[in-house]
Amino acid sequence: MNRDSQRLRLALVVLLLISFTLITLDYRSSKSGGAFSGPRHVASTVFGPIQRGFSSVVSPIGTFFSDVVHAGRDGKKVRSLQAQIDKLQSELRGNADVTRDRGELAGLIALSGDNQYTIVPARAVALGDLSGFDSAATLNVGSRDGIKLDMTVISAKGLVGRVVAVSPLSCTVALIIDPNLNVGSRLQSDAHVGITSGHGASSDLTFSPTDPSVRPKVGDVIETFGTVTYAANVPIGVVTAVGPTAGKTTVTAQVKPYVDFTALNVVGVVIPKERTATAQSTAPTPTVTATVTKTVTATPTPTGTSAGTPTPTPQTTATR
Amino acid sequence: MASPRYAAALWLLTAVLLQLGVVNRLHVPYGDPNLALVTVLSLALIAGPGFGMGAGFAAGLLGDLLGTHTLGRLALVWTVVGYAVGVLGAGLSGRGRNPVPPMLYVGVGSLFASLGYVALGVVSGEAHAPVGQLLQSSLAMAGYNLLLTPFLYPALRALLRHLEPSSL
Repeated sequence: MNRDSQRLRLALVVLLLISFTLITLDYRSSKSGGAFSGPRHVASTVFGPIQRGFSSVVSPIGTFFSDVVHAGRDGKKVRSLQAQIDKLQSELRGNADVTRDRGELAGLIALSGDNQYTIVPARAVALGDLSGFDSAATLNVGSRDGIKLDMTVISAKGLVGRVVAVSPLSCTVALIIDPNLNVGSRLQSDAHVGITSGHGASSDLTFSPTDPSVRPKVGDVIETFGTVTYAANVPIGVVTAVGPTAGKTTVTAQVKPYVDFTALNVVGVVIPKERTATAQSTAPTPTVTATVTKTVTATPTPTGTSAGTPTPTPQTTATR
Repeated sequence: MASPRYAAALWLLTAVLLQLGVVNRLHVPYGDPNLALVTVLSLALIAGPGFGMGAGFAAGLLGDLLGTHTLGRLALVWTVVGYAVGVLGAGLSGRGRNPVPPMLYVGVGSLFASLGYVALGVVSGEAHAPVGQLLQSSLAMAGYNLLLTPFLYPALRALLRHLEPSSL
């Protein structure tokens, strides 16, 4: 018995030492990409398909339980929803749903910044993590769908987050409500830049302008300004309150995100087009670049799968 | 001893998948219950500190690998809590069907697990949500886990006893 408990304590010490070592190594290397991207990659490669399959089986169950859990809270809404349903059903007869779908898709495309980007649609198959404190989501798309690290994730409403881990069939997205995430952003009205930071699942975001003299107003829209990581002009949220930060000279605005992170389902991963395409789209004179565009894009098209138009006229290339 | 071990591992894996795919989506008020942690602590009570710390380390490491926080944080805390609950709750599985003691052990163990995890993050200087919010989620998780115990603990105990009546 005594020997048993000695062995047990030894095992405990060994496990604790392993954990401490992992924490130290991962913490130290986190600024330089992370020492454990390999093991993490293996874990998500194995678990990605399992989570995808599992999610397709249990998501109806989850939806059912979610409905049950929120039945009381949502009870008041039933009557007004019924009225909406009646109204919508009458609209449905006029094929309004088709128009609405098209509108939503157009919204996604408009968010993608005038065709500078393509969007891979995805579904969130898992939310959060085992600790209960991570603000992250797992999507059912991965490197096989062209997803790479640091890509921007959006929904039809606005910015969702950034891809922080990729495996062949799944990827992990850090949500913008994650305290570790800082998004380069600006006021849509006057283009003053700043940083939008997350503060956990039940707090709003905050926007701090880099110029301390700038005072955002309630109702101002915050959007991304386009950095190496984040696509440009994606709406993030709306300013709900403005106040000075304690002990700081800068002004901080409370920002309510457009995306409802408790109801995250269908999202889109923004895939930037080739460097050449991005460079062209910023060129101001379309008539001059049209000829250039043709010669440049003609070479990569055979490798791309989107070679649906075999003989591109100058007009079609210019519009792309 | 092999088949209860596999059964426990399978149970734990299912708990992890259910947690990530279903429970975290429910958005229960104030915080989320944690099926994986209830399983780890129940295993510690049923099969002892060795089992508890092994399950805690394995589930914690898996959670670390699949999550976005520093690797090893959850593994460290869950190993300690699995071991501690196993030692303190030793002999509990032999006693009758009173559901209250396991509930208390799981509730208090969950609270320490959450607080330990939060404390590790705060001490190591990681960016974190406001502390009040973290405390609230920790308390909520402990409470929900306590309420889940009367359902999960007897089921897990019955399964493991059925597989290996002599050793448990």
